Amino acid sequence: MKAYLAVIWVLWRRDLLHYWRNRVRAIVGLTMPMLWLFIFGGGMSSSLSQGNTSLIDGISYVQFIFPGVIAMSLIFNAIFSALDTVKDKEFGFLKEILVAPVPRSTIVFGRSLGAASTAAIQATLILILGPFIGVHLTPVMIMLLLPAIWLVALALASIGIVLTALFDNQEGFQFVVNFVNMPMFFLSGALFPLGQLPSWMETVVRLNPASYAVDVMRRIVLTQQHIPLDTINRFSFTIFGHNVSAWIDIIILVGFSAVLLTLAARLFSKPK
Amino acid sequence: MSSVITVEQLSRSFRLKGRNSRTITAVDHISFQVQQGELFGFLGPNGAGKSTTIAMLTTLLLPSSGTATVAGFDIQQQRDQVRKKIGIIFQETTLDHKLTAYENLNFHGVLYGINRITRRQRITELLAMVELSDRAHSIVQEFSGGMKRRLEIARGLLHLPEILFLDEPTLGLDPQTREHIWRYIDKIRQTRSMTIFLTTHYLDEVENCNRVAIIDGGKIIALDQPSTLKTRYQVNTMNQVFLEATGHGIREDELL
Ligand SMILES: Nc1ncnc2c1ncn2[C@@H]1O[C@H](COP(=O)(O)OP(=O)(O)OP(=O)(O)O)[C@@H](O)[C@H]1O
Ligand SMILES: [Mg+2]
Repeated sequence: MKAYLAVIWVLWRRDLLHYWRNRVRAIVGLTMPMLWLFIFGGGMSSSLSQGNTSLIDGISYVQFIFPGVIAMSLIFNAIFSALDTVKDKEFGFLKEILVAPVPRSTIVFGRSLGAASTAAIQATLILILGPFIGVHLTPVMIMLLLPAIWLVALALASIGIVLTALFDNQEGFQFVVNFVNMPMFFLSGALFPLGQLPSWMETVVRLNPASYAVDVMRRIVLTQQHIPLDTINRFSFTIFGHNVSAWIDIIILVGFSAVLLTLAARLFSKPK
Repeated sequence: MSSVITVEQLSRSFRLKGRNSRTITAVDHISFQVQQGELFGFLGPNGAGKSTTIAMLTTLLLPSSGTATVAGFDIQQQRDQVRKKIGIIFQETTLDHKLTAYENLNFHGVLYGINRITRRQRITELLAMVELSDRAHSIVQEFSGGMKRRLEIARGLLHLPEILFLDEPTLGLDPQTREHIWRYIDKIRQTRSMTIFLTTHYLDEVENCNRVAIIDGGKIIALDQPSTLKTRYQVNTMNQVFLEATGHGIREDELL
């Protein structure tokens, strides 16, 4: 057991070292969220607020999309860092791990923890932008957001690790990731409220893990900004006729991660 | 002497995809044994099936048929036990180019469950042996081909394997570096009775092998001591033996 954890730890540490050695990427990674917040969010806020100053009940559009932009960063970074494992396959390093006497599941857990950590660090950096768009960061909000960010990062990283088990080359992987990421982002409620959607779209939203990711973070941010629950629910969606809640989000994200990580461990254990 | 590798009727075929879709037999019912402590040369033209054989013996690839045991363990049923006993230097580099030399070795040590103190001590020793001590904390990306190869040799030895698979360990290296690498390998063989399974295209390197197998088109066509092979083909060097045994044509063309 101790040896098992040591292997997970050393794989995890390797990802963090890679991230740290490439920290320019971390700064560059902030430009996308800034574009969404300041340009897209800022522009939409001013055109939506002809006359009255907010989207609904005291929230500007840019404040509305703030949790969505954090989720976007997590979607892209967590899934994308699985590309490292595909590169390991392509450039041979994976063989060094596969020929060692370690269970295949360590690769799955080590890599998903690594991917989740780097994506979570990246997303946490976005919080710094909050005050510039009128999101008042309180210690409680941060304390609630950090574990939420980690959970969401893990759930999304588990999608990435399943995809790496299926692809041997970067091209195929990148194609599928782009194909998955964009719809996941657009249909997650990151950019628009989900209350009034056509029913086919609402079905897709319910099946999209990113919807729960956006929802849990938005609930934390808006609740801490003293926005009434009624208003928050109007931005959200329902399952089986009930409004989702932060707890439902968390349970679904935990379950989703568990299922996908188990699947990935199975896929990696299958001998060629 | 007891055999540490026993191969019986081992085969592996691949399905080629795309326009030339068909099945090729990379390794075709080969059988042989390698003795404890032997330096065993495994020769053959490009595409003969050497790396495929090594991949099966090192548990990275399942055989299509046949069986083999390595260090007494079945390569299909007892993969983890096999993995504990072997070290391998792959034909193509498998280092993490973003980590330092030390970090690469340390990573390997953790994978093999070596405790921290022993790890540190062996890493220092091995880096000294392959003359990379002063570059221990450089990123591997900055290494030359020869330095990378030396580092991989150090890594392959870190967990004290009983059997070491070397798939073209001196590929693309200059004569000086090749000589150095052979000096390390000889040193290890003297200090520990390690079995070495070697493939190479530099045939002067196999003059010192205890025995040599020649594989061509997935089949073993000769297996004996270098001196016996030279007598059989009435030539003076292993290079000539190789050409006599496998012919002068480029074999891979026939396969394609
Ligand atoms: N993953 C694979 N998929 C399809 N064919 C493969 C695969 N791996 C090997 N082959 C084929 O199997 C045959 C043997 O390849 P192998 O790599 O074992 O040769 P080798 O003896 O190591 O050659 P070299 O000296 O060039 O390294 C070749 O025809 C090769 O094309
Ligand atoms: Mg080869």
